[in-house]
Amino acid sequence: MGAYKDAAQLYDVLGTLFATLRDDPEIGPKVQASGLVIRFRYTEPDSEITIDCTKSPLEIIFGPNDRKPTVDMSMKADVAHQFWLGKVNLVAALTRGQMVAKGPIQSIMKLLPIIKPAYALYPKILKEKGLEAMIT
Amino acid sequence: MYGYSGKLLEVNLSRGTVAEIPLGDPEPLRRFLGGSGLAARLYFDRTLAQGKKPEPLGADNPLLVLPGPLNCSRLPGTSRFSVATRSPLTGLWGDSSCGGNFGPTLKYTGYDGIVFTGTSPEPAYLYVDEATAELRGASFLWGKDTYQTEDELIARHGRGTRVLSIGPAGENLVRYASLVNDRGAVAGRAGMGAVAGSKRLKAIAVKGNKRVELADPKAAEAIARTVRAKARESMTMQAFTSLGTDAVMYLGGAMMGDVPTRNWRTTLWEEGYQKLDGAAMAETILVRNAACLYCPVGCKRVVKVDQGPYRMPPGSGPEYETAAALGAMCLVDDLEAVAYAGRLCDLYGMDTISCGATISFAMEATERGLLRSELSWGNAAAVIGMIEKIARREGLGDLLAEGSKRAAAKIGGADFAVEVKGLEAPMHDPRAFHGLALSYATGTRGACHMACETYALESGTVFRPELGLAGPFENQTGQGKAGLMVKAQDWGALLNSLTICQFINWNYTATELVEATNAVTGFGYTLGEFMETGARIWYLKRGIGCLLGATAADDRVPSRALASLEQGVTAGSEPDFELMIREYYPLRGLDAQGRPSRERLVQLGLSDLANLLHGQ
Repeated sequence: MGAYKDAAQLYDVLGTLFATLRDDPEIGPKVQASGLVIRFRYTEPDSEITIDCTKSPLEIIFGPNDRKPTVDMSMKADVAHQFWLGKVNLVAALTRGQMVAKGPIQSIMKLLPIIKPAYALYPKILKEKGLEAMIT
Repeated sequence: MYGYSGKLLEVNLSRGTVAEIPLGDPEPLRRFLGGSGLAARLYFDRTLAQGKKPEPLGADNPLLVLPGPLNCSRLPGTSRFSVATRSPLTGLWGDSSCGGNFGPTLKYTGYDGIVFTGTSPEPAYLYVDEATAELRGASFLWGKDTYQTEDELIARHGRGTRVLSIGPAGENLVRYASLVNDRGAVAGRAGMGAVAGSKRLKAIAVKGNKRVELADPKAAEAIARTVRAKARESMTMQAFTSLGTDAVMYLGGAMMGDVPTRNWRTTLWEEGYQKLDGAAMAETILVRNAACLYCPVGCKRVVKVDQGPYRMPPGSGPEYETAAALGAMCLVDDLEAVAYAGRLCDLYGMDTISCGATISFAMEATERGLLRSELSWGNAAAVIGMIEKIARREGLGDLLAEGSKRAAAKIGGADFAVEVKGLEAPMHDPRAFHGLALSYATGTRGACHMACETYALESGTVFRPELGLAGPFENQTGQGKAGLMVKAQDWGALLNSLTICQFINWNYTATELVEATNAVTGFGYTLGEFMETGARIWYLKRGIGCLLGATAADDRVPSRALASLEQGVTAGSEPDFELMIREYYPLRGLDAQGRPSRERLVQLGLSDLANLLHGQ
């Protein structure tokens, strides 16, 4: 079985992560300023989260939708979980096709400074939700 | 003979003569290919095998300029060439790989390379086209920078002329002087420009369109199509196109701890990495990207600054190593200043890595009271002023022109001069990727990450399942790195002998590169024979180094680059260098003195080298 038991749990955990980033006074404005529509597509469980930074405040949308993404990231949900735990070598994951990123590379690279603080947030969120067992 | 014209030029600068040397038997080409591999064989035959050990800046030290067999094949990434000889910086084997358009154009003149010997009584340049090869006076160029030299020789010889030249740094024998073509494509490492300067060889101008016959042009084109398609799809290649190699500045610095900062003392410089990142460059000073011949990626940057103290017209912009060495290492976070400093190095003809690392060393020496200078962390004006002084060997610049090892020997501070065998380490931190420590310690030209593919393998940029290197590799461990290193070095020796770009090479599988080489040369290598060729070349360079004085004691890395940092993403990470080197020596077949074993050399057909190293 994967890290997330179902799509609902994935939406709950990653939704909280993205909302926390949005509401952070330092990170939130940077995410908003990117102006990107970022779609994360996950498998096992099949799920999808879109962050639309063209809207103010930015919108986090769960499940399929008709927003046109500027950046499209696809991966197994387990890879996403390990990634937010800071345990995935991003370069290697992209090389091996474990993560597939599509979109203007400049925009994708500009997400990195935003992503970094999330590494510290993610385990905290898991703990708050009583999911410490997932932190391995 | 396919992939080669079958002849070299031999230029005796003392006598002013230029002669053709037929390559004749293709077997040495099959065994050493071209580029730095063939250069090593030619160097060995002309010097050490004859009992000669030329001083690096002596007239009898031959300087070799060699493209590779793939140069005119139109295969992606094959436009590079090597400049090689005994290095004035290390006193050991030195080779430097260079992109741009000079390499293929030299091949198109009908020659597979040039060997320079002697010293010209007056400044000279060599002009070569399909009908002519002659030395000409270059007094009118002496003192001019590499852009001016290129412009004047193109004006003189017409469009299509490609120029490789030294700047004032080479003329003044700065030990890390470079040679430059195409306004910023640089043979940077190991001081090849100083050797050219010692010979009063200002430039080589080439112009030609002569075809080089390929064994199987259709097969070569099919592979080229496949590789181009892969490059288009590759995220890494897309990043290099858009942002240059400096795309990795923030990722490497803030997220991996891979960018040496403040003379290898921290990686806590997040804002600085962001300011110097390729993305920041794309939004500010970037004019466009530029590509070497037959390159589908174009990682080179053309930048300009319109106003302010760093105003400069469009020209070469900083790639990652330059931004790190002149920026992060010196704590200069002003991208315009770093770009300006890099441009100065290109104009004067100096390696940005050694230059930035030596200035960073001098900053710390000043901080510790070993030196009195205006150098201080983040002082961009002082960095730029010092580059000028180094190029002219003025004041403190005269000492720093000697490189950090010699400077430390004079003023102290060897413990914080991060060099191996005299070559300043490149801008990747072994505490982020432990295999780099072994790579630096055992590189045949000194601290180097481009002589082998370890860094790309450890970082996950490429995997080589056909070579038994399927990965992924844990980056912060010494376990298993010795075995990885041996294969990665053999592979790297092949890349630098084929003179293929180490970035574009990631889009070739090992099998595709073998097939590409066979399609060009008709050599019919199997993958096993191909790797054995890489091993032969690596051992030859290693053996040359031993004959020039390197011992096992030189296979080390300064503790400054190994001791764990207290903070940052690599906090607590300390490469187990002793484990790696202990496992590496027997796997490589090196004896206690660091010499390749007789058995391994004989097995590879290097009996002459074995006899010199071990006696008859």
